[in-house]
Amino acid sequence: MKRFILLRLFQTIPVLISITFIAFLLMMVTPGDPAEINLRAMMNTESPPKEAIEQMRMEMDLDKPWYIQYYSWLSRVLHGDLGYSYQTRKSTVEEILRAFPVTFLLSSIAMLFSIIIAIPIGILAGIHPNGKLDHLSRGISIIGLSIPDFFLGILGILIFSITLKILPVAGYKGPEYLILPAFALSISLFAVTMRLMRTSMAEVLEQEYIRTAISKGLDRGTIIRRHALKNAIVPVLTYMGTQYGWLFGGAMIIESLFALPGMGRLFVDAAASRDIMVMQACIMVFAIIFIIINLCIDISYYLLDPRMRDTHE
Amino acid sequence: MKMNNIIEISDLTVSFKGEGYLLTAVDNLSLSVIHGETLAIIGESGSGKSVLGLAILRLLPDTAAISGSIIFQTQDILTLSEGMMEKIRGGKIAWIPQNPKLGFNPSMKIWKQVSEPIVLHTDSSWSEAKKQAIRLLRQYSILPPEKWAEEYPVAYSGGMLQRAMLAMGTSTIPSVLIADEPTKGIDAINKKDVIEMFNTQKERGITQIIITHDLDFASEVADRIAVMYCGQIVELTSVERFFTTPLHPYSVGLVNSLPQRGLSPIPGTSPSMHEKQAGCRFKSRCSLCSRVCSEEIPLFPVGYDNVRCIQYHNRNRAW
Repeated sequence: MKRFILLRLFQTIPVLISITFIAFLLMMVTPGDPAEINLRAMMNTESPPKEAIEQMRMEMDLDKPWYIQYYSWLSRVLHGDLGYSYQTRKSTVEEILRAFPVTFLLSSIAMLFSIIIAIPIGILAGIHPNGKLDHLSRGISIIGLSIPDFFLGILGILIFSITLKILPVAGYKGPEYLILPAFALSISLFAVTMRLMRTSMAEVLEQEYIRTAISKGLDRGTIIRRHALKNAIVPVLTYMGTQYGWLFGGAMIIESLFALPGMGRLFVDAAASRDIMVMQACIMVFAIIFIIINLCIDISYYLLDPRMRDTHE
Repeated sequence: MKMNNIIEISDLTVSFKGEGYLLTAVDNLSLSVIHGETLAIIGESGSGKSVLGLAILRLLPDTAAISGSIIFQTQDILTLSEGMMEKIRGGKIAWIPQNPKLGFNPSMKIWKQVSEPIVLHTDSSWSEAKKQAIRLLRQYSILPPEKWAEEYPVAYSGGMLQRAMLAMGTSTIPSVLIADEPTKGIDAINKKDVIEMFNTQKERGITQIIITHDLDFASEVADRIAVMYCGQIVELTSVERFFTTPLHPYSVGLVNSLPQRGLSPIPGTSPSMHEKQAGCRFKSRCSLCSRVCSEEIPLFPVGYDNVRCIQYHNRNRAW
């Protein structure tokens, strides 16, 4: 177990190195001169003087070859210095620390919706395929997959905020501000999780080992709890795990719609104003989130599915 | 029901409806299993022998249409409630599934799967049942049993899984044990243990129904042999007479196809089960076939035996 986790951690190192390189490349390929963009914001003018730009280029090492730039940038990053925002003049780390909890909470609540509602419905629908609940959940899934999250968000605002006045419209002053956006964000994950759980459960119940369990004289409830559930939930967990990363990155539209100061908003704003250091930091945070999630999935696989253990040890 | 019969199957038909066809796996079959005997049901793949075994425990999928009756002791299994069936399954009639690789739950340790019937049908606690499971694993040469008990099925080889399956099927003392291909994937050395196990079970008075196409194995453990062909029983006889004087042309073919009898195969293949059959199912492969074989042929009594072949019509009187 310990060896397995260490091995997986070790495997993330090359991934991390490539990500820093890609994030660095962004600075090279983004249109516009970073020095000029920086000066424009700093001097609050559209056309900063030529000499000032030259001066800035030298300060930012932009006149050096790319590998020197990469080296000095990477060593700063490794010391925890991610630069500063050209726009707000605040350190990027500060910006990230402010935005991260909002998105983290938002995507976690969205995930929680799926776990506590979609999984139980999926299990029940899978136990009785083509039953009433199965048909109902199939209908909900189709609607859920067909409606874009921003549309559902607007619909939610119209119904719950403007007509019923029970939830705030937009902004972020407390957890109640996250209910509507999390609901809108979770819709496609919710729909797919529900169907996946249903299919997985129905498939497991067709397996021969379930017939073995029946032949022992176990009752249906025990068979489902003891023999079916653990095997059925593994693919669903994997799916949800990978989707958590997408939720995190995909919150951009929803965060913009509900004016939530999260990571997605931060990234979109940074991209719009070519705030490169903030973009780089956002990309690295997204990448690290994905790496951590994949690590968690692998570990949960290891714990849930003994067939995985042999291949790793 | 006769006093010495433990299971009496009458007019059992099991069919599966598919798109545009009706597959009759068991065709109007009647069979009595005598208390304490070991009955081997032999036949090639697709002859319906596994379906017959599954029907006795009502383990067939809902898509199967079942008619007839299966009287176990005094109750008709086909009319019992699920709750009553749960008491019978594993406790009174135990089952050894056919495919050990798929028959075990991949995410549960072997000892727990072997212990489950013990905990369910006796007063044992899980820890007592675990000790019992380890004893059973040792009995089936899964050594060292303490180590293997803690493993998951993935760590086992095919032959070991088959033996673990036998341990699981024999963990309680049932009245009837139904084993589906118990020697599949087991090598010659371990097969001796399996034969010994079935003979021990027999001495304990357990009625055994063994579904197999391993004739050697059947000759070592069975008292009687029922030959199945295309969902019907074509011959029901004692094990001695089956190997010395088989009656039905198909049985003759089976015995002659044994290595020690010169390995001569039966010509042709069995007809498709998807089509409704009339008359003798074996007629297309039979050298003795005549016009009367197209008519429905009942099981004729011949001495102590039964055979479904027209050449034995009225033979009983001459016997």
